[in-house]
Amino acid sequence: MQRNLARLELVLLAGFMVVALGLGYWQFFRQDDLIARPTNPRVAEEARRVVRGKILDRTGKPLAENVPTPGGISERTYPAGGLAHVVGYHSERFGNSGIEERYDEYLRGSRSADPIERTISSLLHRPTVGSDVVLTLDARIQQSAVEVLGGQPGAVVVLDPKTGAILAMASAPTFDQGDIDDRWAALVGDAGHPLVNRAIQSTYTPGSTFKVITAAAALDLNLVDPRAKFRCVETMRIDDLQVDCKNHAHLANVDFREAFAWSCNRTFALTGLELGTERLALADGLRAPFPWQNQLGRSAQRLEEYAGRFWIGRQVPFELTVEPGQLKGGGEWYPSLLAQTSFGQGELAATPLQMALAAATIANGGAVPAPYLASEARSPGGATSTFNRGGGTLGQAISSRTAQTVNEMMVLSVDTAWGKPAAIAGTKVAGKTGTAEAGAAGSTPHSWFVGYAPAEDPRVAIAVIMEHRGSGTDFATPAAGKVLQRALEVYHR
Amino acid sequence: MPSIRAARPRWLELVLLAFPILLLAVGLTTIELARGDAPDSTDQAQVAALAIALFAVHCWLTLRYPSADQVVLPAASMLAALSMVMVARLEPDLAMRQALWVGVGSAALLGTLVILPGVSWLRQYRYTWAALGLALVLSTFVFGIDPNDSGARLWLGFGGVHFQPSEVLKILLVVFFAAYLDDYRELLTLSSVRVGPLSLPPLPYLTPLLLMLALALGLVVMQRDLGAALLLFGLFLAMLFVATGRITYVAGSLAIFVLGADLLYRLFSVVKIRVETWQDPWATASTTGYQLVQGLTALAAGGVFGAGLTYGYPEYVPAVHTDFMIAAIGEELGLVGSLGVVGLYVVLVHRGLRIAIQTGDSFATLLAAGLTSVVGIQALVILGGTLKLIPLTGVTLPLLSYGGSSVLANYVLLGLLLAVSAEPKRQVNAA
Repeated sequence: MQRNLARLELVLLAGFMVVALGLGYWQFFRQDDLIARPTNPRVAEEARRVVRGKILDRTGKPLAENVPTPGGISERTYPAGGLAHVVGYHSERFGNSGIEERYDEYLRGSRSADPIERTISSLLHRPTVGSDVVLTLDARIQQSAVEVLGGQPGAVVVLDPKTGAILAMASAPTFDQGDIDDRWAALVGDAGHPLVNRAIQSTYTPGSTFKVITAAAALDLNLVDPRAKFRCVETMRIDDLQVDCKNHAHLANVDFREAFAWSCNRTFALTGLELGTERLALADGLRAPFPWQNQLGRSAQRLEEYAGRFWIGRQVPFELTVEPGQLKGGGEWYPSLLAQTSFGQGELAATPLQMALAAATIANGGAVPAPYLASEARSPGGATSTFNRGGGTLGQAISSRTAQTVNEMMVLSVDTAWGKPAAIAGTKVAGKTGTAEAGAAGSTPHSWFVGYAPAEDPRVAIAVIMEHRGSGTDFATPAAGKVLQRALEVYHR
Repeated sequence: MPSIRAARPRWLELVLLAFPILLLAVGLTTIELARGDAPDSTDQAQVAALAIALFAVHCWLTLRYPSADQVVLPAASMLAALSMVMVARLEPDLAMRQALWVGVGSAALLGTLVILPGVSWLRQYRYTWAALGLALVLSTFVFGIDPNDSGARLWLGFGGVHFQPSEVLKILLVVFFAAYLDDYRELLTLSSVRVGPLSLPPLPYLTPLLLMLALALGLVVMQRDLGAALLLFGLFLAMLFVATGRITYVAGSLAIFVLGADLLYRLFSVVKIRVETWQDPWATASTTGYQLVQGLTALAAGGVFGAGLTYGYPEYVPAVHTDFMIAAIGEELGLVGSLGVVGLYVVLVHRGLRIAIQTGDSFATLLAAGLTSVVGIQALVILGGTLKLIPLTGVTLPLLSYGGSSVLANYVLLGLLLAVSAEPKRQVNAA
């Protein structure tokens, strides 16, 4: 039987050898594969045990932080309201959004300003503590922005035009990040789209606020003397399009600045159509053959060029994804479309952030400030890694001389014309109102305002949109004035 | 009868026994420290209890069986100590119970050595053992309970203590097979009935043996205890081969096994589900494949060096403190730990078969071979199932899984093995 026993041992040991190889296969060769599968609950489990880093505003006020619960697992809370879109939510089931998503690696501690500290604490099985992320937002300005929206659909973007630091970004209607798990289905199904960050994810017809860009193009191309008066009372007709001259009924003779301040659609339709010519012909009495008839392509090309410099229809580089919008749809240019586009209608679509950047560009001497939200991350041990010091630009859109002229025109608008409700006692405000026709015929227009203050040395720039609320001067403009005033009180660079 | 021989020191065993005690002390302390608790008195009690139990067995062996194998007890104790550590890690409420069972098991081992009047005494009652084993399994049909919601009524309960008769059945069957095969070994080896080119075993002599096997298999299969069925069949094959050395018998039995397995596959949905789950557990990762997928994921999560005691998530694996203990060991102690466990089983199998080879009596040889095969095959069945090498069937991981009857049965098994090893050795040149 000895030989039989030896053979039995061989068989059993072969079995254990196969088992050992099996262990090596699963524990070594298939390790990464199995860990990465959704059937592995450890990733979520680790995430739950991480003491997630705080999200702080520029003054150090917590916008998101983890509070210990009796169960030993800490709970994410959002002590400052009105920031659901920018700060975002953090959900085991539905993932992250906003800053919670963009800087998740730092917040959950998988990346750190101090990799050595991170490695040591992981080797010692210390609970992972994420880095704090410091934002450029100011909770006080944000609160003011949320208040002026009053829960009605719309958005407010406030930034420092010199540095690009976003000081406030409000979107209404909003939601409560704290109970995203319970209310998910209702939020997703809500016709008001509360989960959408309208400041960057919604594109709107910009209306007359776009005249900032049309005017900047004409002035930068030196096609018009801004102080030359011309008679402007006629209604004009471009193919099927009728453009009334009604915004400055009390003024028969205007100059380019006044036409801008009073938001004359006729003047800006002509400006756009004639961008390709040597000199703008804006006075009444235009008859066929029109000056633009052979220059339409050149005019359109120049408008496209300047709109592009202001990042209309282009993806603005930003920490959160910004919708690019469009100057026009896929079709060809035709006279009435170019005319409408030039005063902010037609097929134009832009996000509130893009329009805020347009105002900030004028405030910044013609350079487009690169917008940003997070300035730095701070590791638990105190090491910092800087994301952005501010002051970056997305290119020079227009000359500083042109910017200076547009600045004067925007000041004129707030001092004397439709922009008046944005005025602040003791401070010069520059701005442009907008009343954008959008949606079904006859529906209430969007109310817009873009601007900045103080005009002579701008600290804050703003864009306000209130969906289907009425004229720009009646709603968005006074609201912008309030937010600008609050921002100037609290924000010093 | 064990004759009283002069006591001789068993230095190797004494030195080796320090390791399981050290393992237990270090393991329990690590768990307390990782949890942020101070080592408490229950830990010290567990370490002391294991030390006392092992020392008692060691002393008895030194006094009465100085020539008994010196590696089996330490190797088995390493597994027992690891079991106590892992149960304390996985189910702290059961830690003292498991410690108690190891203590009771050691007492049973000692009791086996003390009471057993000699290995050959066992063979006299071969049919009694067999009948007793079958009666125990049969009784689960009437009195069986399912305390762990495993889906099968495999346990008997006495005053809060649950007891799994199939654990006893396997030992009783080893004794019966060893006795029967020893009686008919020569007949089975030498004579055969020739039918054409085939040489068949002399069936009349095999009948009681096969009847016994069929009864045992029939009972456990009816209980849906497929793991036990696989174990008993593997045990029969191993012992038949050791006794006769006839590959044809083994091949024939395997053919019958394949037919039987195919029949079961058609007959019982549970068998079909097990096979399908084995083929692709990820297809049903949240239902029937859950345990297997979570077990493999735990092993993968452990990697080579493991997450460290208490730093993994083995609680996601169902039955991790019983059948799937290797998943928890793999996750927290890594490939290093899981291969260590395999290494301990290899040592046990090697020493067990060495005992079988060295013993002078052919019944004792078959007995030792059978007992060793039980440990080896049972470990292979559950490890292979956990690793997706074979369809998963539930049996405990010998000496590692939590569970009173399993621990107790395995300690009695060790006692018998040690008793065989103390029998007079085979004479050199004795054919």
